[in-house]
Amino acid sequence: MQDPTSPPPGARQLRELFDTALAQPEADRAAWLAAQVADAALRERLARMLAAADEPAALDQPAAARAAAIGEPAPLQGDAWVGRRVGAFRLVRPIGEGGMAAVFLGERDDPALRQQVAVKLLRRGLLSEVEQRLFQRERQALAALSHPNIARFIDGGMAEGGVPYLVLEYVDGRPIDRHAATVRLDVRGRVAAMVEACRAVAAAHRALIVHRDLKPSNILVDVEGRVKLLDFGIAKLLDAGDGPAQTEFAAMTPAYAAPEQRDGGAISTATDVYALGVVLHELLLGERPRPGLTQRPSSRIERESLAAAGLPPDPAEIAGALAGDLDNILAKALDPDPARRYADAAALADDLGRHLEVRPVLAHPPSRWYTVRKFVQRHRGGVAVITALVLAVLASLGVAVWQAREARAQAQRANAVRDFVLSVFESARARLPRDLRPTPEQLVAQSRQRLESATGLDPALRVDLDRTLGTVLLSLSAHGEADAALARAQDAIDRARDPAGWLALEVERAHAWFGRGELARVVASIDGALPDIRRVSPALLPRALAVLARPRLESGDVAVALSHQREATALAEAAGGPESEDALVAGFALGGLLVAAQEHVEARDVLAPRIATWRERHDAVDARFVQALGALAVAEDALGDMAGSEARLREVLALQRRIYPAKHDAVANGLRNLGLAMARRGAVEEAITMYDEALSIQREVLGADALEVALTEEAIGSLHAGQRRVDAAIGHYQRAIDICTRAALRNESCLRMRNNLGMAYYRMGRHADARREMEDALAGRRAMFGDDHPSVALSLSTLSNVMAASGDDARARDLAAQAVAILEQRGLGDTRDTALVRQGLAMMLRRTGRAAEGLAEVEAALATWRRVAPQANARELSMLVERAQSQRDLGNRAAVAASLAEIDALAVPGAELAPVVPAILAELRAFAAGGD
Amino acid sequence: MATEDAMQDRPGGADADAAFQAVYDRLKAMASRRLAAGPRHTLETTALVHELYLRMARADGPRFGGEAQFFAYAARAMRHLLMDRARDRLRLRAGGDWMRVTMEGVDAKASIDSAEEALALDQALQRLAEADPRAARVVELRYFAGLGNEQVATVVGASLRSVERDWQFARAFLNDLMAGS
Repeated sequence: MQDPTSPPPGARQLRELFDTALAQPEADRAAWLAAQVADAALRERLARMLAAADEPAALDQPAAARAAAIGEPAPLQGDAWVGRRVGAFRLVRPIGEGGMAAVFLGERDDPALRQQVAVKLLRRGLLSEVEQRLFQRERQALAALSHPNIARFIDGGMAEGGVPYLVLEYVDGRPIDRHAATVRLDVRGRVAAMVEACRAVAAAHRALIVHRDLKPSNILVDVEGRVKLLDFGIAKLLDAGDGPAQTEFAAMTPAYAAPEQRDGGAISTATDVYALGVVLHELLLGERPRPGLTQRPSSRIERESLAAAGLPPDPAEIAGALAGDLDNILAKALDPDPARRYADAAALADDLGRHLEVRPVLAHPPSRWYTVRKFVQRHRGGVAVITALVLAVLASLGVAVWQAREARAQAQRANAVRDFVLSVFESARARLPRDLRPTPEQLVAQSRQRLESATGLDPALRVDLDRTLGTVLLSLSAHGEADAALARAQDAIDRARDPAGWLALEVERAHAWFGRGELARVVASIDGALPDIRRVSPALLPRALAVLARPRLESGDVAVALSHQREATALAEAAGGPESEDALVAGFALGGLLVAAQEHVEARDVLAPRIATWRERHDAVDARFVQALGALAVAEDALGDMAGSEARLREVLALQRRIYPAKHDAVANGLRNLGLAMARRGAVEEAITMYDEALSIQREVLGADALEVALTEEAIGSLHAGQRRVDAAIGHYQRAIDICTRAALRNESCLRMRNNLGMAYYRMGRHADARREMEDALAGRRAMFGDDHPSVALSLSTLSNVMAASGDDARARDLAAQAVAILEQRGLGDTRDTALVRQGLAMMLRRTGRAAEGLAEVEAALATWRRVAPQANARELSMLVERAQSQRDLGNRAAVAASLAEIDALAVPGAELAPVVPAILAELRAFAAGGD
Repeated sequence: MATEDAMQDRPGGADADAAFQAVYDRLKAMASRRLAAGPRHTLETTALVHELYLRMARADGPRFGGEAQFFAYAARAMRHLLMDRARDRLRLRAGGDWMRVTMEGVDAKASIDSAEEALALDQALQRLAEADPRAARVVELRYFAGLGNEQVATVVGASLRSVERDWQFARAFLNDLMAGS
């Protein structure tokens, strides 16, 4: 083997000569070379090398920089793009390959903004002018199109190397045909889904955009059951000035292409209608229409196709469902002549919708008999109930219903009728001024009456209607009525035959029981049913656990409640993905429970990311979202993040203003909460503005004597009290209490107001008034909560202050001692409030000649204080002063001197000390020095 | 003859062949993963070699005949990687079936110039290896593997002073050759 380190002889010579020459002083090198190297070529080479030794060289550019300068040639296909950044997004994995493009799942390249998108990279550069125009057009078309059922256009441009890209909303869903087969959607459900798809296409048609390539793989149903249209990628603008240039680009799928599309004829909105007709045909019959056949679809149904499409494998059943309207609609949508089809998707959607509502469809040749038949059908059975109910409510609500319906268009699901009824009730609840709203009682009476008087109702439909009614009543907080309706539905179900249906009703009933305060009943029932639910109806589990969690929390089983809701959240996340609406709502509920359980850190960690996700994925205007924001505000406030909390409250208020009419008690609540946050950071003027607006709304909407008005008055009173404007504070507190009195309210809020009024009197030195109010509050609290409640301790301690100020030290001492005892018993012995009460108790003990006990109390207070509020030196100093006074009373000079040393070490500025402190300190120093 | 002979002056026999291949494959995989993480993760040669060392040589040291041998392989592998890239770049100069994609902010001319210069450097290194094999190894270790002079000295088994002189000679030698090419 050759020795790799042994160079050829000539080379060795070169190296030796070079090294030696380099060792010569630079000025002498030329002479040295001339003298030593006889070979002219070698000498010349050495001279060049020596000259080049310090020149910039190829080796000066680091290998990494060289690699970067070359760049990385990579194919568009495959994984080479994974991990790359395109626009603001990083490509995560390929999710599809199309004729013209590769599609990747992308994520916003910013961990704080978790957003998933679909990134479409055009397979080739924009070589031709036609392609460039097409791309430009696609971007324009998409940017102009905004519809909840159309995958949103986010961005577009050129990636590295001139690769054109589009960033689109990522839709986690499956093609409509696969969805229908998987969930075994019935004929009605399939038609309803197609209505949703048609409405979306109709929106595009209104924007003069034709899809031109509609097919099941472009019509997805996402995890929330929402139809999403993809790939308006080859949309052709119908702009007049746009020229007919694109026929050469006939990107289409032959099976779904209309005849005029295959023949290179004029493309119009009717072209999409044809494709939608094919998809509908495929959904309803399990196969695409065979070209050239003129029979009615319902006459040529194949059993195998039905089974493969997840339809009931009974041709007769499907034929029955199709015969008539659907046959006619399919024929009209699939007419070879575009002029005889529905003009656009809206017309098709309308006709399908009319079919669902059992109204005459346009596709039917109008005849008197047909119309009458429809009318009769319409007034038979459940349809009659619902229609009558809807009409009645429509009449009473007028135009508001239409608006509510529009606003809820996104939520429309397959069961359109039921949802519509729900939306009517929802609107009745939330979107009308109070005086225009039918009361829940009126609605209950109306709907129940209609339901009971309807004869000949199909039992299954009656169950359905009772359940719907129950759900509506639940949302109206009419828990008793809800339970009655749900119980009727449940009674009609045989638990053995339909355990899932029965259990679902049990869970809803439990929700009603919770509303009525029957916590034990909820726990007993759902706890008992959980094993069954886990076995037969796992989909119900998240809801069941959520319903169970609340009463668990309220009955003090915090850990169990949290564990239930955690499981519910995990299940919802597993079922629909962590960003699904169900999962986020379950997480919101978990956050709410955590706040209620005072687990503020975890509450924040649970809520904040989910709120961020919700913002990206869903319309922010949603009561559940607003509640979650409010809960986060509470958590942040508790964690000392006042600014964050205030920002949330501002947002809550803004959303409430969007959800509710200008004058609504929820808006007033938002105003007051924001005012409280502002007051706490000392923004007094802003807070007062908030409170005033809240007050004016509450007086108008709720009446002058509503508790909410009193609560706002109290908040204003507290604001003044904090500003030492005690007179003004007393006025507001008094007004608040007057409301309580007039309205015969005696709840915790009213009692707190009374105690606060007492505190204001105490600050003014009106001790008798203070004592009267506080004793009243104390009696009320004892009656309401029992003798050992923390709020009773609070009353006792404030009353103790009043007694001390009135000179009744012994009574003050006993009251403070009782307060401390309650707090210790409640496990609150080591908290900030207790430390303050203890300090008062220590003073009273000392003043009543029990300095030794007082010393023990103040030591305990100090220990707590130093732990919970290490920065609050002024209070620590006053505790040390109290300790020194006890030590002096006990005659312990050395201890007093030590306390004084600690006091001096705190170095609290004189301005922060209470006025009496310097005199006391002087006295103590004299004592420590041996005087007195 | 641009690179086929690059393997010839590598130490060892068949085992070493396999060992080198393992290092090369591993490095290539790591490099493409890094590249996949985005255009800012260019071929960070030094970091890659050291990461590879931590992963392979520590765990599988004996196979590589120790640290010195490992770095020799790694440096060689990195050199291959860079040259592969340069050749790919030049092959795509004319277009072809592949979409031509360059790194962000890289203009085509500079990219092609760099690729050509890289290949010229490779050829010059062949010549250096013939003239002074140790100097060529020093260049590989220092330039492609990013080792410091002390580490290079340990790997090649020479004094620090010798390594410094090797580097000076190599610079002058390569500059002279490449200026003439």
